[in-house]
Amino acid sequence: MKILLFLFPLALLGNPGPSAPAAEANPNPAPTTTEPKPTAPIPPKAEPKPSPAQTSLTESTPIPTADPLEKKPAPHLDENRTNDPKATVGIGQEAPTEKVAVQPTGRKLVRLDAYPQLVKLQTKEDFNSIVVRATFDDDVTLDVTAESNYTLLEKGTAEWKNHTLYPIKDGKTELRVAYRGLQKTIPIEVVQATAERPISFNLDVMPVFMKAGCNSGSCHGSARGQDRFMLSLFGYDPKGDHFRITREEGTRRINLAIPEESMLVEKSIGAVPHTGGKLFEKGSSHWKTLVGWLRDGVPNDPEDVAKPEKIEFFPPDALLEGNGSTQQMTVLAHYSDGTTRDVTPLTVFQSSNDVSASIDEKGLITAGKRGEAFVMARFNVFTVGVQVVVIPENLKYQKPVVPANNYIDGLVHDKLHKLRITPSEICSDEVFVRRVALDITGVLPDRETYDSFMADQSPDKRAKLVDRLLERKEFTEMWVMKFAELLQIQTDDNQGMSYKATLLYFNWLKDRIANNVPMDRIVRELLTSTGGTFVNPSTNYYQVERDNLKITENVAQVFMGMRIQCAQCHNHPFDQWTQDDYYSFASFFSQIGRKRAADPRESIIYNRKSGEINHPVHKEPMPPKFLGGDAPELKRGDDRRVALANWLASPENPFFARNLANIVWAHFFGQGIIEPVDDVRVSNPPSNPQLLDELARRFTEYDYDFKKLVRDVCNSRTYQLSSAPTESNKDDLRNFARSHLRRLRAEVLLDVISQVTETKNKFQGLPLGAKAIQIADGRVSNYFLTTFGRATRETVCSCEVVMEPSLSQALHLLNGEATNSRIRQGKVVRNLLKDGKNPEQILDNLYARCYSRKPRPAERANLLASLAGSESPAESLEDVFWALLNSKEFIFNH
Amino acid sequence: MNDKCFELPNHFSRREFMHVGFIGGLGLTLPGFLQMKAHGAQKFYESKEGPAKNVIHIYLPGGMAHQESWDPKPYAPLEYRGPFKSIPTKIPGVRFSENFKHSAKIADKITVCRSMTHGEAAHERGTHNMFTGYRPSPAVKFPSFGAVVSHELGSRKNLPPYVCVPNVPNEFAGSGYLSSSYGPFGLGSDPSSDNFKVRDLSLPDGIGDDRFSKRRSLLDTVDGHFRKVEKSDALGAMDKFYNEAYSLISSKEAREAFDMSKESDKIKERYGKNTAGQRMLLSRRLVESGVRFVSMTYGGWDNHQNIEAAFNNQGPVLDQAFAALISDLDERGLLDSTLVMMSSEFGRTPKINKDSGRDHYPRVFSVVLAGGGITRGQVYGSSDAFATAPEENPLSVEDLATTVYDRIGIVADKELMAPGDRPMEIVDGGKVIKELLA
Repeated sequence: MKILLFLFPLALLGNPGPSAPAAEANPNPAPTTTEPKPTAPIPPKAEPKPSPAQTSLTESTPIPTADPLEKKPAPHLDENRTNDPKATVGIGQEAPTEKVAVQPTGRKLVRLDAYPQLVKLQTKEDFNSIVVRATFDDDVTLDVTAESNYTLLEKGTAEWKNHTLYPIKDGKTELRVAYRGLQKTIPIEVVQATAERPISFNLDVMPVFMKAGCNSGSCHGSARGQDRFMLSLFGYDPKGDHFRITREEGTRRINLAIPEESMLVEKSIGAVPHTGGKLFEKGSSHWKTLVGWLRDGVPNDPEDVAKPEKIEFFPPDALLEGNGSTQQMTVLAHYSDGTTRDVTPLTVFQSSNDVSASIDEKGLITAGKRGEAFVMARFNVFTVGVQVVVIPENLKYQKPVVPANNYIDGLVHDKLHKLRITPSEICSDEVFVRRVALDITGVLPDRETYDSFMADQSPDKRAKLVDRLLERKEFTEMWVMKFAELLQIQTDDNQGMSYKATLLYFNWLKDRIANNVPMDRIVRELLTSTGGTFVNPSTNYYQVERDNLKITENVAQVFMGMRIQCAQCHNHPFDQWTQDDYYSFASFFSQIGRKRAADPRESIIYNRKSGEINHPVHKEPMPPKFLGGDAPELKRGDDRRVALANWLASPENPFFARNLANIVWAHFFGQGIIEPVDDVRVSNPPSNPQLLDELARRFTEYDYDFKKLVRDVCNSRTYQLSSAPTESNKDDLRNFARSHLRRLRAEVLLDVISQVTETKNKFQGLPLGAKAIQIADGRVSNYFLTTFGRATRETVCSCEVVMEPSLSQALHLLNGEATNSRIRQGKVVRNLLKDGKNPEQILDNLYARCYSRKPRPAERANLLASLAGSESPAESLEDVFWALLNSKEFIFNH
Repeated sequence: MNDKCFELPNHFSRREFMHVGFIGGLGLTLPGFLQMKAHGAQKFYESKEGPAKNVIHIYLPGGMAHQESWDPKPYAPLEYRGPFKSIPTKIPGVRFSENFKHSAKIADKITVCRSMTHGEAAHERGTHNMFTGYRPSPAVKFPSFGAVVSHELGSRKNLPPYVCVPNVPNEFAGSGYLSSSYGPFGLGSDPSSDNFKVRDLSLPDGIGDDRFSKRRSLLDTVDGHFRKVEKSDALGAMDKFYNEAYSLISSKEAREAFDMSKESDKIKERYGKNTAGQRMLLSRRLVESGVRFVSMTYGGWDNHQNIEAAFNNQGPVLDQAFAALISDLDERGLLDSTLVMMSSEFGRTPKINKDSGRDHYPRVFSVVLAGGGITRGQVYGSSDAFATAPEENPLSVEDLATTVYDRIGIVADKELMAPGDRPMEIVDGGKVIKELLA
């Protein structure tokens, strides 16, 4: 982290000091204040430590705040500042522009940031724009680029004009930025100041096609191209594009004699009819790039041309106040030869929510209505995004004092504070006991659990209940079912998955989870398995799916939460993955051998030690490389899957723990922090990255022990919130400010109906009375389960579990046997009557059974009144039972 | 330009509602979002009922041989011609295979497309093509014809808009990337069985209308508090289906759409008292009552072996039912407003194989269209002398789908929103085949 800091402002900065790394783990570093914020009490553990999960999808740009204790005072800087008055006066003093800056009043400026932190200018045409951002003690940020004072130390080295630096001569200097008492310094390095840089096809021309939209899917990037001209989608095949421009259809697209009149140029400036319209002006920088390249004779780049390695998008977050407030963004690309470039003009910008924060093509964010947006920058194969929150001006909001049960609450409350949202109240004991029993065990609390919990007076009774429930075997069964879905455990004779293999595979999984084997060990065992599918059942992972590309995609989706399917055919349009990444990852699975065993139902999985998958563009295999990681050293014949598994299920893989933590979270909240859980991508960011990172870090620290993580989640206040909204959180869906209704999934709903009606199910291969969540084979189902959207286990997609209602479901609960026959068969009402219970007692019993609560006085009165005139009390009470089973309070967990 | 390439959603589904919630975070009102989208560059066309107010899609799973049905090659050598003779039809000069003698007599009411072609020789991939109008993609699940119709036009006369007879036939017949509320209603029971009854449609034994209405009022009582305090999208969707169920249960007319006992024995016999006949008869009942899109299947046509026996067995049954359906619709004045499409995932290889069967062959095969604004008495396109490739007017999956959608009143170029804010045309790049339009 190359950064020089003024010492003088450090005192004001209220530097986080030794906890500086905390900022690194935190893509949206909370502003540091000079005085303690009146925040909710957060347990000391809440401070995230640097975690491996830090290399998150949202490219975080930690603000490097140096430790004042370590930092040597740099008096010369101060001297320079005071001794060089003309520098201060001479340059940069720009009057506030016509742009109306929202000047927050009554709040304290706590932090100043200038981006980029370091500027390297190389060759004559280079430039770098600077953005300065102020942060106030209520987290509001303000673009103060126009209002700051600038001091350039060596005026002869670089030129400072329109908030942009240009090279003059080789050397080093600094730009000092000052705003209302706070200062920042940007070191500047200028090399080859007068050298021309030849226009490069890859580095200059291709970015123009991206920025102007030429190679997007709806234009020439479409698989068939557009109007007979095709470019690779988002530039996945620059060589092919070079060929198509310069050689295809003869050379009609270029005119080397008069470059300006090339079809390529004339189409893009609209000089000749172009279906895509006019894309840029004649004489614009894009035009100059194209014409310059044509004038040079359309050279292709040498093989060793520098490649962009990453981009940074500044500032890393924004909390804008008031409709119309703005924030200029800047994008810095880093290349493999160590150079950097300001690529803001070549970057494609996009906002996930234009209503709250729109971004124009120059990278200027304009705040709109209250809300949240994720603003993305796409350059070359990189997409990075920042979170932008917009709050109205003069909002009446006071940070609520909300207790935090554990670290989860602290992080949730931090995010809610940014959004100026107050969380709901904590739910009642009756709601909690039902909710947590359904979530942990998949059944309603039995009478004993309910009574003892309600009678318990101790303050930690909820935590005790969670502990008790976690010891139930139903907890294991629930997660075995969920993983059986992800592993697609089902018989399929066409795929060679016999019933015997299926059962062995399921039992292997059940055994591991029941014994609380850490998740990383389970995954390693699974991915590196060799041997017979009967003898070593984890090998069935490679039998269930035998297409190696499909296995590649499944591994990414199940264990990393990423859908990389798109990158099979072209660079992923919504994510960072390139086709090269895809095939490099696929190479880990190219040497899986499969052969028949002596028993025709069994297969043997082994390391074939040879075999490659060719990249479809250049028809060569890619060396194995971890998705988003390094290439391991592999000797010929090594089992590539071993290298993969060791990396995949380790803290080195930033996605593994995060993905599992997110899956756990989603189970208890009905939606992931990233939603859907298996669609992690840059353009689908977590709603609370700090929370997800911390859960992942804890999960790693817990040695991937599921139970511990579940315990944290269930003990958090956030999980125990009521579903009743507050004024500020009623529209929020993604920030866990209250509890949201969740329909019971098919298996749980059937089990619960059986539980309350006291009836039994019979599933193939299981004894009478077994529960639906115990079903081993994905093929085994019944009308109820299918109708209510049980996963078929045909794919690994989380979308297989269908929670959406349908007409058949409604009809089945109204008229079908699930309610009508079961009420009759279970004889619950009739037995209670036989036991001499009166209607009121029976109502209480039915309510406790189905809702885990007593009827409200009004409910009791209404129901008793409707029972009064009944000829057959049994029938009438059974009708009440039927109504309870059809009611939303029963069908939903709330 | 950037606008064009990162288009905004322009229509709305329940699943996207969640997404709006996400991008909105808070404070973003629904009208605001809709307004925002109205200005997006997503291609939009309003859908309104076209000449084909109803559709019956008859699907023949497995890949029916075109040579043994609609496109016989009587002059080809035996190994290409196959085991059957051909017969003349109502269309001068056009011949069908001898098993299709009833259809031959109503050939003047239908259009046979003999130049259907695509490149997918695997069952699931070919099926995908014929149900969605798209080639399979590793990344996107496409909605079926029926789901798109349900999405664009909604329900009619208390009946679900998209019904599958007897069951949802395959995974591609679903709602794809659209919300599952546009998915099909599968009957779960075969109309040819003696005790045919659509599951859960009528009140259970012992529960009369009175008791049901009492139950409904009890349900209102127990649900009342929860409904008052809880607001959620999921609750609304469930209410929607409960209301649909109530109208279905309480509307005698709607329920009677599924009641085969209302059909006379005579008409049952005319269609044929077998799976093909009764499923087609029920399909007619359904569209007559208000269902917009019926998807039905019959038989197994993957005849790698002994194709002669297979066609002797299934051909005449299909023929009788199909001819009865077309003439029955016509007699009732429904043919002009009901598009009937008979298709299969592909055809079969030109040459009979060593097992006296034929193998998968997508390069050329036949699809039959009738009614709903499609020409009468035409053969569109042709295959070559040995039925190995389209000879005239090759008909692509996209063109077929676009033409069918056009007749229903849906512009197939319209973009619907797939996950990831990815606008997808209902059909990508097809054209309406003018020669097929009546």
